[in-house]
Amino acid sequence: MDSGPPTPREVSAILSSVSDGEAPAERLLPLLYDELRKLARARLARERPQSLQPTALVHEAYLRLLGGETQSFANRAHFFAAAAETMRRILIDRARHRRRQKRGGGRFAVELEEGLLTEEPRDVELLAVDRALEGLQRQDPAMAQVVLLRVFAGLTVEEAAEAMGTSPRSVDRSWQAARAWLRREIEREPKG
Amino acid sequence: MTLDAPREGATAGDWSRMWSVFHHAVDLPAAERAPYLAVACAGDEELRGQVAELLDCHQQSEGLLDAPARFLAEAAAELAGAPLPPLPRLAAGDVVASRFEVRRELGSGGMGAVYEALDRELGAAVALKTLRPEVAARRDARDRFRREIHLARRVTHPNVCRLFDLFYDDSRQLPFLTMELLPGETLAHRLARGPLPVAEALEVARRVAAGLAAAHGAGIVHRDLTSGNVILVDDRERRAVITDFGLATAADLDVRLTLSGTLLGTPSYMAPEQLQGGAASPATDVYALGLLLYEMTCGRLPFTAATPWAAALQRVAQPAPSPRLHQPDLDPRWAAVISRALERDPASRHRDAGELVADLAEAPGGAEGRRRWLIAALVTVVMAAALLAALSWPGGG
Repeated sequence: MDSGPPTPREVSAILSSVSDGEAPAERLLPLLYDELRKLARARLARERPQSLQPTALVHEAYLRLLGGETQSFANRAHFFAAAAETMRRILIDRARHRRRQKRGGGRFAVELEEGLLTEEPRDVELLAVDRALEGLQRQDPAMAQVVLLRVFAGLTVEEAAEAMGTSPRSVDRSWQAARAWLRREIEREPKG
Repeated sequence: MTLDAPREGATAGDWSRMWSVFHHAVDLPAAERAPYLAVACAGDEELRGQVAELLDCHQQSEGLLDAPARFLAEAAAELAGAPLPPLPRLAAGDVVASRFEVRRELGSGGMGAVYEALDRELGAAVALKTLRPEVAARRDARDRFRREIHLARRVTHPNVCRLFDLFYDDSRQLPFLTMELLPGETLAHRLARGPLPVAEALEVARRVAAGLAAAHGAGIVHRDLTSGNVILVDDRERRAVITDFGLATAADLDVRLTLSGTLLGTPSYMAPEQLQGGAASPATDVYALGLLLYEMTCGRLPFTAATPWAAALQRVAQPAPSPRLHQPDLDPRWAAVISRALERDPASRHRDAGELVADLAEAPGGAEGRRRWLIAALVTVVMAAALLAALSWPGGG
């Protein structure tokens, strides 16, 4: 159906069709997934996996998909939100997949407990963060957005503030609050 | 309100009040938090408990999400699929294609590695370049390489590294290039020790521009000119030589892949039109030369950012700041030439390296200055000769 990659104008149009506060357009996610995957692959040809920076990927995708034309503030915000959402989905799918494999091993409970301290704390932490984040999204979408942009798009406080059209101080406060809240939610989660 | 249930029952008022108290408390010294909470939450034990718990969590949340890159980087790698195999390395003594004996590695980069080798057939030292198998394995790679190498070989200029041959080593399944061995260091190496004195920078630029002009004249665009592929040769003149002509084009089988990727291009030097998927032209090399000039005179690139791609975004979105910002001593006319080379719109730059050279030569201290001196000297000699002739004429007659 689609012939070739979308032009910056087409991407702009999709972004413009997303209204404020709405989830990023579903049309945008496969596009971004595809682009991020391609960029990551190309970068891996030159760099070690450890040096792959998601922030760089996201900025690169922005450049590629939107070109250098000045975008409206709303378009920028929607783009970074969609990129963060894409990265989140990739990470979660991957963590779930690994966890399923562990379950298959039959020593899951033990591994999970140990994993919290040593081996694979990231997957466990990530999935817990994600569940808590869903709750936060319902309670306070703006605060959740700060977490999404900071954690999943790798934006700095200043960049997130710019993307959200707010002050760095406000982002910093939300970030502090969200972290405390997520920490509490994770602690309260029944283990295992 | 129970703490176990999601807080969906909380009203917006409860929620914002809770955070307002939290933020006030966070700003206080630890010892004053409890007394403050007692006052702020007087009569609302539940709120006090909530905020106290959140404050505890806040203390422990350092690092909870602080290093997202820690797991994101790994995910990004996963996203890309299995990492590419490492570049095959050659060791001293290895013989390639029954002819070239490797002596030592000179360096490696995105596209492959370069070795000093002995051509046993001719008894001469050459530079031997390996190309990454994934570059060479692409469809039509051989034909395209052959065509580009053929083109590149037509350029014979003291400031362009000479390409000799392209061949495949069947046992290693790798393509190799042989080229002129240039003893010296790359401009990138030199710049790592600091900017060049202006006069020296201009000399290098003039030579690089001359090499580019020759290639542009032959219809070849470099497309990946960086300080890493300019070599400052250890000879009397400190000749600057451009290497890797035609390789970016040759390897660029899938335009989109190369442009989206950094497989071959170097994002730190890519021109805005390359970054945005436009066609490369001599003006693309002019831009890269502008960046080289900037780097040589200022000791830095016009845009710096945490990642090459963030800097690339700036190059596309903003005009380059004047080099005089970093190097106030730079002649304003030179600064103007550099700024013009760095125009974002290719049409606003010098058409090709030849035009840039001419502009550079116009500026004080440039070749034009020397030429004027030469003309003046010549005129003096001619006049002296004429005077001598005039003086001796009557005597001779």
